[in-house]
Amino acid sequence: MKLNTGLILQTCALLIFLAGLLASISALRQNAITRARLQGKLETLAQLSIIKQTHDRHQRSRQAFEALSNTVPVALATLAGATITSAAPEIRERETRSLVSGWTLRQAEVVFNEVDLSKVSGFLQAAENQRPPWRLVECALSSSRQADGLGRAVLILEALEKTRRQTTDNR
Amino acid sequence: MATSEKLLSTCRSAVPFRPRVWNSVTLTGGGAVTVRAWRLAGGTLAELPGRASGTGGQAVRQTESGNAGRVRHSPDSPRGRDEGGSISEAGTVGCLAVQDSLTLWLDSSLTSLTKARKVLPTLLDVQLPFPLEECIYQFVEFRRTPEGTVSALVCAARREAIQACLARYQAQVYHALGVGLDPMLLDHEGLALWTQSLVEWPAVAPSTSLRAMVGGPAEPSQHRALICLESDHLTLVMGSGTRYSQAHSLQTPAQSASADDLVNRLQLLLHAGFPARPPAAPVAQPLRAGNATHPPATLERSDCGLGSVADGPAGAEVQWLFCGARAGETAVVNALHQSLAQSWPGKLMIAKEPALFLARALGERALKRGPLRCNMRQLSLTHPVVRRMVERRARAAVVSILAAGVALMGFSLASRLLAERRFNRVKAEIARLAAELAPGLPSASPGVVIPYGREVPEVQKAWEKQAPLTKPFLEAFAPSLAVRLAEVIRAGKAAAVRFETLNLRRDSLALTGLAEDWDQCGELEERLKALGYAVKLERQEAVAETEVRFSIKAEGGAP
Repeated sequence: MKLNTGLILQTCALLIFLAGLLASISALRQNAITRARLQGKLETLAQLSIIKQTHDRHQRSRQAFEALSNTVPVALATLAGATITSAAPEIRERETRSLVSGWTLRQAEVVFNEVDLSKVSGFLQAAENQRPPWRLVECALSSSRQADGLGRAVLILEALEKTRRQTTDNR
Repeated sequence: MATSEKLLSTCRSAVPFRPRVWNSVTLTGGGAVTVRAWRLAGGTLAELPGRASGTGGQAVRQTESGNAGRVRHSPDSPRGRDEGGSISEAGTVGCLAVQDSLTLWLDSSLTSLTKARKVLPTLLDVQLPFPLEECIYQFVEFRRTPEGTVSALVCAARREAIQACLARYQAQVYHALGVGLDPMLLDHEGLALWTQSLVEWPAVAPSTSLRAMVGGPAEPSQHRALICLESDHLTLVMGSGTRYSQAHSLQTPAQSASADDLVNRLQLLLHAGFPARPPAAPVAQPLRAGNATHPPATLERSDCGLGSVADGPAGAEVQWLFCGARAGETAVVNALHQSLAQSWPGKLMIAKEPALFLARALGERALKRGPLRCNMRQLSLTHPVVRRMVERRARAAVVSILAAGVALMGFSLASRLLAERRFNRVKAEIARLAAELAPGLPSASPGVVIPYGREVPEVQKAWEKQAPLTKPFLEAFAPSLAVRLAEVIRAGKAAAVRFETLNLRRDSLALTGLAEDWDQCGELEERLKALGYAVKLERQEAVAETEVRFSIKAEGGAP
């Protein structure tokens, strides 16, 4: 039987075209599904990116502390002695919490009795200017009934430290 | 009535390709008239009269000298050859004489064009005096009648007639090449004369003509009769407006005594083509009334039931157009016109270079797309070049479809791959972020996947555990609470109040104190609000003391 080459070619072309058409339709449908899945993944990625941004801010902050040459905060007793000479503070160590990479968070309570309250801010400023700094977390001031300007100051300060905590503070 | 018919479709191209140059050759008497036509930039047409020689030492029929239409060069000038290209590159178009063929309007009585196309060959078979199988035909135009049915103009000829015509062309020899002619395209004489008459003398205003071409209703137009006077025969083509009606061929009498007979026969045919004004005598016709070209066997008969010319009333006004080799004989043309104009008055017009009119028509039709295009070289008589071109186009179409199919497959594959690749990249990015944010999660291990949609909760859970360990570092950079303490104290001084107790935390403030005036407490309240606190102030009436005791609880106001 003699084969008609033209007819075979036409049939093949038509079949390939139809196959291409079907493949395209299938690809379009598949792409629609993939697009929906991709949309979900992109939303997930966006949420993770937000967390990542926060994470990065934390890391950058830590790196700033890592870059400090001195990683032990100055003794509060020394600082108080230098800024408020009229009253000796009572200093009590509060909680200490371990952080990452050997860092710890120290919290201390400083109590000044019958102190000139206007000088407390000088003490706080000096504490915050240290590297690493002491930060004021809470304060309670109460005026004395005996004299104007005098009173009691209870200051809770915290600082980050990278060293094994000493049990006996040389305050 | 023809004028209210609507054009449905017309054959606008006779061959599936468009050579730039055509040699159109018409055979008359013992010689040939040639016109070389080619397309110029912008779609204009140039024509050049040429020559062909007869065989067997017959006298060469010279075409008229000078230019033909828009050509500026003599036939033998080298430049003329250059503009038109070489003869071997050009296609040759010939024509099938009216006496060897017929054109016929067929009414299908069907309203659907598709259905009409199917039944029209059967209707043609009924009308033909010979079997349809011996015939080559082409439907060149379809119109919708006022009744809504489809009518079609068919051009048909017997195979033997076409073969004989081709043999006559083969007997002609190009003076330049010395070979016989083999027309690629065999047009129809009547259709060619008609369309060329519309080109040279447009029937209606261009805008109206355009509307008619695109299928709109044609404007009422004048009847038109084109008489091509050759040395041995006469061809009569009739129509109205742009609508071709019919064509006839009559032998030219050798003696002047027979001239009256010729006029009589012409009048009979004109009565059939242009219906007389009422009260007209009924005219019986073998085919469709007023629209038929008689088969070759009946062409020469004047007694075919068309009625007596002498009895007929005066007809409608007709445009009389004359062309052909003898159209230059003014006496003959005038005599013929005067005889016919008695019944159908109308202006006489003679074509420029009338001997080349038909050849020009063939060139124009071959080069340009337009209505009523026709090629009678079909089926087994198709010219080899045309056949090759058709096959080449078919192959090109197949290859195009093949390429389109392959392209579609490639596109679908590529789009899938790209989509998958992008999806995988996003997934990998999620896994990377999850691993970075929550190193302990399963996604950090290769091959372990967090359940779909659980990535964020899992990472958040891990982050909530991890964040307290690093948050103090960030908080160390937050604005100082000592600054806020100084601001609160300044606010108290500005309001002239005395604080007894002050408790300050990052998000709350508690105050007790004394003010000399009730309003001073209010001022302090406003100042604290300006610092961002939501303040709740309580004042106690001074009973034993002169000062106002107050207490403030404030929320927010984080520095």
